[in-house]
Amino acid sequence: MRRHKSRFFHFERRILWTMLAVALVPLAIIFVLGGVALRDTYAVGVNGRVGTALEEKLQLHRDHIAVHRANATLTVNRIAADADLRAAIVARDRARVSRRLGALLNQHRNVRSIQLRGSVAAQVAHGARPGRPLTRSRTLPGNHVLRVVLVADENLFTSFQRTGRFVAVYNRLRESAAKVSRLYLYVFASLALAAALIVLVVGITTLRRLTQRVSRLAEATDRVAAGDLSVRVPVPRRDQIGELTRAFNHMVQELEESRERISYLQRVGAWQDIARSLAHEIKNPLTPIKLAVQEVQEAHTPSGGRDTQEAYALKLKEARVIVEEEIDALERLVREFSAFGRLPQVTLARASLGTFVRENTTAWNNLVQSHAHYDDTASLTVAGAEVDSPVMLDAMLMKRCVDNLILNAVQAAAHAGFPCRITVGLSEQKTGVDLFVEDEGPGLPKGDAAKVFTPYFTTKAQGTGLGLAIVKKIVFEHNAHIEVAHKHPHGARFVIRFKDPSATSRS
Amino acid sequence: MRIPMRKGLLVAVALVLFGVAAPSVGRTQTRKRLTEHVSVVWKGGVPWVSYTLRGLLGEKDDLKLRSGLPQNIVVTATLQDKRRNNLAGDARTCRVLYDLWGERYRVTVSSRGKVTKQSVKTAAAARALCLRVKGVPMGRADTFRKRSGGLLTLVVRADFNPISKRAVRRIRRWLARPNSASEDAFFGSFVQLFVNRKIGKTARTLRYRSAALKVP
Repeated sequence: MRRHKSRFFHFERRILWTMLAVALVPLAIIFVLGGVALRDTYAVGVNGRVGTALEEKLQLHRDHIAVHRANATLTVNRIAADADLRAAIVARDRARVSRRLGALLNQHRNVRSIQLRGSVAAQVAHGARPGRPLTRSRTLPGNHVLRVVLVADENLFTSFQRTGRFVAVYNRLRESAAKVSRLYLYVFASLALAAALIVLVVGITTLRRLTQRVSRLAEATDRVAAGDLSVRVPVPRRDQIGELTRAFNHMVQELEESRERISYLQRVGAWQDIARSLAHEIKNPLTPIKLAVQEVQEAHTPSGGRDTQEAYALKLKEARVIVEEEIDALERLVREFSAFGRLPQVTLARASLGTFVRENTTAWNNLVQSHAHYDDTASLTVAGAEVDSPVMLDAMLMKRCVDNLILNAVQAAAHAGFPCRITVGLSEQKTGVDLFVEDEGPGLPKGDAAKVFTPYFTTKAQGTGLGLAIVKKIVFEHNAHIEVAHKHPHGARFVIRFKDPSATSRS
Repeated sequence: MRIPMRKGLLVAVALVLFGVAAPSVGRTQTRKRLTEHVSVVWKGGVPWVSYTLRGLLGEKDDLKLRSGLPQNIVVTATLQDKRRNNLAGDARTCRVLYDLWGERYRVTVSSRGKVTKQSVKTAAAARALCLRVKGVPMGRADTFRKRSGGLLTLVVRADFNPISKRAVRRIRRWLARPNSASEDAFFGSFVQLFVNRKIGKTARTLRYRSAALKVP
């Protein structure tokens, strides 16, 4: 399961990196281009030319106020220089002075009040002339002082101050152009990043759901591979993965049903094979026994003479020999069946196959020599014994396996009249180690390669068909695999493929 | 040299966060030292401090003072002990507005809740009103009583035309509604949140740290 999690983590991570790249790479490009665009746009609006124009406007306001002020001075001078007024003052005619001041007040719209101080004092004022006041004084003949209050439209000053504030803000923004456009960029980047993060979170959540479902499917596949066909994966949604899950469940159900059928048929078939073999094996000795008993019965003559009695005794002796031989054959049959039935459990331990081969070379050599005594050229060669790869091994049962394969080779060679030359060897493979037994005998008849490990399958007259079945059982219990192939130009090659124990423990 | 991907990602995130968190830049300010002396007179156990912000404004600034637009000076003075703990402080503002109509400088000085308005004819007089601080009492007698014989330092900071809260508000409003329309600008609404007084903080800043003053 850990392998699955890791695999899916990598799978997820790859998709996440892809999502990130898809989201962030265009974002980075937009970020750079956006920054340039922002700076340009900002520079279009806030630049020196606009600033100059604004300053000019401000100056225009100042000039406008200065003109008003000059005008006010001119007005005061005109009033002070008014000949009628001066004449009235000289004539000390107060009424005339007041009239003249009133006329001057009406004449100059920027004058709010005029006051004459001195011996001929007079004052005129216009209450409905708002504005910012400016008082100006002039000295007139006879120590008279003329005080004129002039006004300017208040809007003139308000507008000036407003423009001033505007220019101040504008100048601040212009001075801080780089900072403000950078702020825009930061805000843009933050919003874009936030959007990317939201998309990423949503993506991860969705992806997690998806990969979890795929992961569950993969875990279920592992359990099926391990032989558990009861596993079913829930189908929460009707999407493509849902369809895949449904198909998987259907497949596992079919497999389970098929396995039950196959298993039943195999069991029945096996029993049929056993029954047939047993019938054959039992029938073989029974027929000579029956014939011997019949002959003894026919030879029995109660009233016979001495010769007859001796002939009967001889017949009886022959019958006894036949019966004993056949009973021996039956006993051997029972013994082998019993041995097959009581095959011990495999106990695996980490061991070196090279050591195993080297330790058993002498025993196997003796085995060949004792069973192929008729052949002077009989030999057993060991190859690749220096291979030191460790495997999980029950040395005793594996020796029995190799013994059976060697005996099988010896018997095949002897039966077909081939020289008995056998090789036991090791060869390292990518995924483990191969232990092989090969001979230069007749090889396997075409089509028999698939059946040689089937119990009770034999091509030998004296064989029970259990030797290679025992071999296959022991090999399987080693989590190994056995194959048989033809050897060029003639002969057979049995290969036991051991897996690397570290890979086995990982899986 | 290969940077691990995870480390690189962290650095990138940190840079982005730093960039977002530190938009308030703009510390272009002129720092000068006041050269005028500081005098302290102790009355009733309280120091009466006088100093001049020489160098903050000069004749070159007269044109600005004469612009008809308000010019502001913000001064903070602090008395610190040897460990630079603030013992007493004074803050004042001086606003100079040249009246284009009346052709006079209107100087408004605000300190300790008291506002003094004066009108002067020349820029030099206006400058003098703002730059010369005379006999300002700082702190309370009991603050200095227990530090008798100890040393104090007067730390003065003066900003010429610092950006005001009102100006910041105006800038924010400008950014939020660049077209002065009723509708807010999308990015501007966010940008204005980060605009603070550090944007074009001040036209000029002067800092002064006096020699040690002994508490009687």
